[in-house]
Amino acid sequence: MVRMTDLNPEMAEFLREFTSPDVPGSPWTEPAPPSMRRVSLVSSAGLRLRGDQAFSEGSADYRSIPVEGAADVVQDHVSVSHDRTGFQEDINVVFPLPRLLEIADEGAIGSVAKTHYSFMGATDPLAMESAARRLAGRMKAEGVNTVILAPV
Amino acid sequence: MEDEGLATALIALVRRQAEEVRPPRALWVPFPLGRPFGAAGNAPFQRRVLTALLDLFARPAGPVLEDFTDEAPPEGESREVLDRLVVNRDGPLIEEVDGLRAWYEASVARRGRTTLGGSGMDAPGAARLLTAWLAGDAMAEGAEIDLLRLASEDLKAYYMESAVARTGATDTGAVTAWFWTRTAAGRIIQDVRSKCLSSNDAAIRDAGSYMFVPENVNG
Repeated sequence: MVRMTDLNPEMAEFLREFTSPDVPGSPWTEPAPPSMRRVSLVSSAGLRLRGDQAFSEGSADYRSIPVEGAADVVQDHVSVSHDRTGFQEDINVVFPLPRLLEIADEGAIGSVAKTHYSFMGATDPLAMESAARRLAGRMKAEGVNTVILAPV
Repeated sequence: MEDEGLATALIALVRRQAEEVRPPRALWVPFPLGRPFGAAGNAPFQRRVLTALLDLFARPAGPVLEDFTDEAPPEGESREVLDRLVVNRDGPLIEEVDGLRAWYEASVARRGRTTLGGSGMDAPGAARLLTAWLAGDAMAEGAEIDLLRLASEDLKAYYMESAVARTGATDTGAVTAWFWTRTAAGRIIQDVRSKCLSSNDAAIRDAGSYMFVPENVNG
């Protein structure tokens, strides 16, 4: 979609009535030059390593997904409006780490971070602020300067 | 994150939300919820989406909201080939699950991964939990709603991954329709939804509304 006409009526009504959080200010960070970009992916699909602690509904924290374990993740976010068949067939539909690694190999970006992350879907965004700021600090400590945000 | 000094670019599935929140860089995509990068098994298309997103970092100022207007290409045909699967909507769930095992294992071997596992149970375990909960088994009655929804998703994953392995079907709509209208698992999960909706617990009723069965299947 996501076009409203493609949604089931219940979800379309929910999205029409949904009030987006009031995010003050317009933060802007000057991007690093392409060759200096170190990129990390952040999903909100409730992704985690298979053996990691499951997300509960409304969870505001995040899980870490190292590159070497990323092929074996499960998805905890559930919604009847979300199509999971793409994720089942090909992880790149939700979490395109293999594509990002290819792009880095070709030199379009500097490098791909060793660790990537996921939050839980349908959590109040404002409740996640504290964890997101902590995560930002962690990513900077790992040399990341560029983040791809991929909701689901 | 931008405020903390990281340059961010966001996939926006719902354009209106991006217009309201005004993130620094956003790319609206015309794909279904659950598919932010579009098409399964189509690396060139996925790369186009990802590259368009990375291109936003070249914009001199923001907020930036651009549109990626290409629809995801179709993924394949499948309605007829799904007939090859032996399922029985009115039969015992556990027998149906057992009957698909070889195809599920073939799927895991081919893909090298499975999305089943959120509940921590295998498919027969998930089937037994849902069936016991419906039957009012005391232990299963105490199952938390989180476990029921994850068991339900695991069962769906088992069927859909098996179906694709058996038939080569990748038409999302056809596989989804097959699951909900032809299989005992689809019937059982619809029964779970109905039981949730009749619960005295508001949280369980909400879960019944949003976590088990797509609205267009409820009819």
